[in-house]
Amino acid sequence: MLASLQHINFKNIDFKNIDFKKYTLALKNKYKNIIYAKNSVFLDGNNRYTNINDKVDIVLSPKFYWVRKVALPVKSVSKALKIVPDFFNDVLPQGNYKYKVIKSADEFLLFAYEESVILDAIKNSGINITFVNKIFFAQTEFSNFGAINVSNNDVLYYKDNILVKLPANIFTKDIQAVSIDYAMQDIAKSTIYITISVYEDVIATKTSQIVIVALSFIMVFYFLEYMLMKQKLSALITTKNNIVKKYNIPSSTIVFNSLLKSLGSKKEKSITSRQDLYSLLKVPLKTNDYLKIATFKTSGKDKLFFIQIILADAKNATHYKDYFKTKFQIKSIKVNGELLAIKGKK
Amino acid sequence: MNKINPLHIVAFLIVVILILIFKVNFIQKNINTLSYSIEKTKQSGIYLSEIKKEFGNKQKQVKFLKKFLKSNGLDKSPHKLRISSSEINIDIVNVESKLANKVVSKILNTSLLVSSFEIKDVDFNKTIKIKIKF
Repeated sequence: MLASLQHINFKNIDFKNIDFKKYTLALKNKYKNIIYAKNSVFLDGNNRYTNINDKVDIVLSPKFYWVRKVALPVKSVSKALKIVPDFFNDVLPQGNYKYKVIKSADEFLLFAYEESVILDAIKNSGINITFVNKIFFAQTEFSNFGAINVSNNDVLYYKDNILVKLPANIFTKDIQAVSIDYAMQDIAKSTIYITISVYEDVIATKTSQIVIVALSFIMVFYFLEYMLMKQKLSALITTKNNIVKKYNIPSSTIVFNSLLKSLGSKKEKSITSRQDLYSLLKVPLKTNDYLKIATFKTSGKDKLFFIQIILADAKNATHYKDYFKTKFQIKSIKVNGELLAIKGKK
Repeated sequence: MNKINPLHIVAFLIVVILILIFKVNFIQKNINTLSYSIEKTKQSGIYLSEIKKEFGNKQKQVKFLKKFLKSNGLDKSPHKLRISSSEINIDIVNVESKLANKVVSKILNTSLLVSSFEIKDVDFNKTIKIKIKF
């Protein structure tokens, strides 16, 4: 079926005549081949398997689990799992049990098992634990057979739909029983299986769970913080872009700095020029002296000035000389009668 | 069994946490840098905006001077206002000291780049020549 499915030429398919059930089954089988191991062994605690070097599925003997078939006042398997322990309290010896629930029509099939017991049995049987793929209950795997001989002395037998292991000699009449090897060859594995915590010895399950949960919380915390920060970063980038847009800042830093430098220099020049011009024009004139000419000119880096003051008294020239000395670099001073002329620069 | 070793999960979680811590620290540094950069950009933006208002707008300076000269009756002959692409030349001829003072005061208190200035006294009236660079 699988082979035929792989060789389908989809161009030539007449979809009206397709048996979709067939293809669904083929896909299901293909899927099964992926999750199930090629080899299977029956674990009874009495056999040794030393030649297993590949993945193997294990079918558990009823001696490794307890099973009950009951009608429960709940509908879902998850809800049934919560109340299962109560159904086994009266029959189970002291131990650390795990439970599995299967819904079958109106009833539930309840399983209880001890992982450590199964793990020990696997180890004692010589199977390398790393090769174990899936573990099935005999209860769900041997329903095609009425009775199965697991050894010369023991028989697996369905009694009231529950598979039990019984001594062969209790049967007064001969029963039609197949050998366990035959049954294992003909087994059609179900989808009901369990997995076992192999590393329970390494770290106590609860402790590891607590550590994992704590680390998960820390991870979630940091992840959320990371996401929040990413959002914050994104918001900041938007803010910066808005500022750039609002103030019309050039996108290139070089252009921006050059613009700032150019305008800054202009501002600086404007301020110093006006300050120097102020110093020139606000010369403290003595009584009856007055300003005749004042010129101010920027020439490259220099600021040149020329001033003529009409003096009421020639002695006042010293006063102006002293004043301009503090403000400018004087190039020449000429006093011609009542006319004082000063040239200088800054 | 196909179950994963809890130690592997713990190791994986620790690695993920360490990566996240590294990423959080990295992004935090980026946020700090960006916050500083935003503050600086904002200050620079405000400064640029103000300085542009003062010196980056030729039309605004021309408009301002025209308005000032007009309001003081200095926009007509013999007074002159010449505008070129790089400078403004203002000639104010024969005005009273009071008005001359007003002009000088205005020039000194306005953000203008005065490249040349001349004031002459002729019979107690003043003639002023101003050259302003853009």
